[in-house]
Amino acid sequence: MPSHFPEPLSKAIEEFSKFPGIGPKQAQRMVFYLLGLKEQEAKLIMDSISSAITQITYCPQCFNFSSKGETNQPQLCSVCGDSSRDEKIICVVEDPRDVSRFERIADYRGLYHVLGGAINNIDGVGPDSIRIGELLNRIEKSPVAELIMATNPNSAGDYTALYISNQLKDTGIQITRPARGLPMGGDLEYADDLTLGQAMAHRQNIGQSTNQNTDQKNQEKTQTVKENTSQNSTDNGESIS
Amino acid sequence: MVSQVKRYSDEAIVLRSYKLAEADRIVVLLTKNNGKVRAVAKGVRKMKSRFGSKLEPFNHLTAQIHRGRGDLDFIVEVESISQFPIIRSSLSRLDSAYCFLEIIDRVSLEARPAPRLFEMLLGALNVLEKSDVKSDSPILVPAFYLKVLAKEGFAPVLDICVVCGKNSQLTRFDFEEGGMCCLGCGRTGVKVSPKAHSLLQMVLEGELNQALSEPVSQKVSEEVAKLATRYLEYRLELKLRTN
Repeated sequence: MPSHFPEPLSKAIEEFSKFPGIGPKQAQRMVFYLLGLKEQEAKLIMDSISSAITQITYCPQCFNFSSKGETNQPQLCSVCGDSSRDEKIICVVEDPRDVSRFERIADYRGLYHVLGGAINNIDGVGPDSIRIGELLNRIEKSPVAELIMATNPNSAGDYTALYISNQLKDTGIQITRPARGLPMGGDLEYADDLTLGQAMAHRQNIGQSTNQNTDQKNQEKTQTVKENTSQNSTDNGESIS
Repeated sequence: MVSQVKRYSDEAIVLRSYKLAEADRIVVLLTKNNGKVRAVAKGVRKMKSRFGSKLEPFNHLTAQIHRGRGDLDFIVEVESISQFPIIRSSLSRLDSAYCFLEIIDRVSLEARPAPRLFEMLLGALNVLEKSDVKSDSPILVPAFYLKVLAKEGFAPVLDICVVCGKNSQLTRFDFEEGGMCCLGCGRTGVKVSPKAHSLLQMVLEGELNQALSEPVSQKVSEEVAKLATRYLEYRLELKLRTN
């Protein structure tokens, strides 16, 4: 489409409209906003984008976002570099954004492992396409006691959790999955059968805090898993509770 | 011919879904009466979505769908019929279920009603959901492939030599000819054991339940699986991702 703007301006609009969810009109608004800024403010935005692109890389241990060091080598991320973290617990997530979501609740003190996706065979994403090999290598080298499979609560996430638990079934590592229950603010009428069933199976006494309940819940989960195993005689998903 | 009413309700099984924009999904459904449907489900990736969790692959549901102007329809309402919890708790059952979904996704067509395919897929998922000898059968997936092939008009000839018509000494399977060949005619294709041959016949000649209940050695089940997969890939000119 012919543009009435000078070349640098129309080029900037074209580039901004490549952002997901941003159309030409919104791109135009963003560029005009930048043009309206004082030079110093605009430079700050440009520098921050530029340094994010050149300085951000993946943590060599957990594959969360981290920054490059002075020698341009990837450094450990803020979580892996924190010596107060419990290295016996690893929370496995699909995306670095999930790490930030867990960090915001500030309850979890273990480490993470970012898979970079979930197994989805129909779409051609097999176990080798995500960082499962790296996770298994990491577990071999470090004293891990528990693996929390916090992949997304959907079919691909469930499959990935089952797959990894199957790979680790003889290691003695406790493999858990975050509880599935009813979201705050939702209507019971719209809850799906699986979620409602699990929420009922893992119901809690009113007035007990989550932390106080942890041990009791774990025991209940183990019991439920045993019952499921005897009822269904399914193959290797039982280690995930 | 699919009717052109703006909103319709149909029984469906979710074949797959793709992420769309910030919180939406494009869901591919095999409906009972409207063939394969690609529809946008708005906001379903949010935790509080009214029906997001009901639109996971192989869920059986009733959906209200608004017909869109282009290729995509819009899902308005979903009522769950079954979410197959037993399949979801087992890796091997999930593997089989994904094999069913992939082949159905690849043979079904949009706007072409395929109630028979729908019934076949639902039946196969119901077998997997039960904990019995049939759901554990190693030939469940190959049997499903053969049934799909037969439905598409590519049933292999198993009772006589596909080249000369003789009905004895059928020892090889010729992919190009589409069936068993006798000793004299079968120079190409693969060798088939008598047990595998009899299982193939049972699957395609109305004795599926018996075939799935038969004790099958690993060698024979691998032979049947390899043959059914190869024949399906050859006839439908595709490469399966889930197998």
